[in-house]
Amino acid sequence: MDKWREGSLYDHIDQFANSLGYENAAIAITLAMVPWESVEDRNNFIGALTGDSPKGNDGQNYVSGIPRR
Amino acid sequence: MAGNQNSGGPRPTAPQNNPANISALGGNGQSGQKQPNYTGFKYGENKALAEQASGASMAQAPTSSASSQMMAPSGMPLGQLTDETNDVSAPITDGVDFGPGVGSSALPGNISAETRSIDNQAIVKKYYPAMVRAAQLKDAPDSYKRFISFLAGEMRG
Repeated sequence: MDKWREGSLYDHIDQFANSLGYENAAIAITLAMVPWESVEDRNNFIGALTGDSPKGNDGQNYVSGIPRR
Repeated sequence: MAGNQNSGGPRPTAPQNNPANISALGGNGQSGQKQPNYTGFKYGENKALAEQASGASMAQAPTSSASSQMMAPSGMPLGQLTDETNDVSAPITDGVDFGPGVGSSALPGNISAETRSIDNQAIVKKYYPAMVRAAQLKDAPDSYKRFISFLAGEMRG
C-alpha cells in the first residue's frame, strides 16, 4: 500500500481506535478486520456503538478506495 | 345345494360400508373406541400382567403441599442478592472491589485471573509492525499516527 486509502484496513483501524478509545486497541483492530461493505456501513456501526460519529480522520487525506454510498 | 337365500353378496348396511367409520388411523374406525385393556401381549398373558401391575406400589407423587420456595441445603430459604449475608464472618461484599470486606484479591486465582489484557496485547503485538508501516505513509492521517504513537508507548512500557 503506497497511499492511504479510505476503506482500507488501516483506515478502519484509525476510525475504530479513535472512536472506541486507544485502550480498546485490540477490539478496534478486530473490528477493523470485518469485511465492511462500505465506509458508510462501518460508520453506521460506529455510530450505533458509540452514539457518536466516527472520530478518526475526517477524510481530507483520503485516496478513494471503497466508494461511499 | 340348498342354502340360505339371504347369505352371500354385498350388504350395503354393513359397518365396513359406512363411510363415517373410516379412520385415518387405521382399523379403529368402526368402534370409535380405544381399548384401554389392550396390552399387546398374547392371549393368556394379560391376567398375569394385570396381577403384576396391581401389586406394584407406585411411588408417591409430589403433593402440592410441598413448599414451592427454593431452599438452601441447610434448610434456610435462599435470599435475594441484595439481602444481608447469612455469613456473620464476612460482609456480603467480601470478594468484590467495593464495599466492606476483602477485595477481589482474596478470590482464588482461577477466578480473579484477568486474561483479556493478555489476549489484547497479543493481538496488538501481532499487527503492530504492519500498522507502523502504514503510519509511515506520507498521507497517513494524524489521528492514525497518534494511535500508533500510543501503541508504541504501550509496547515500550
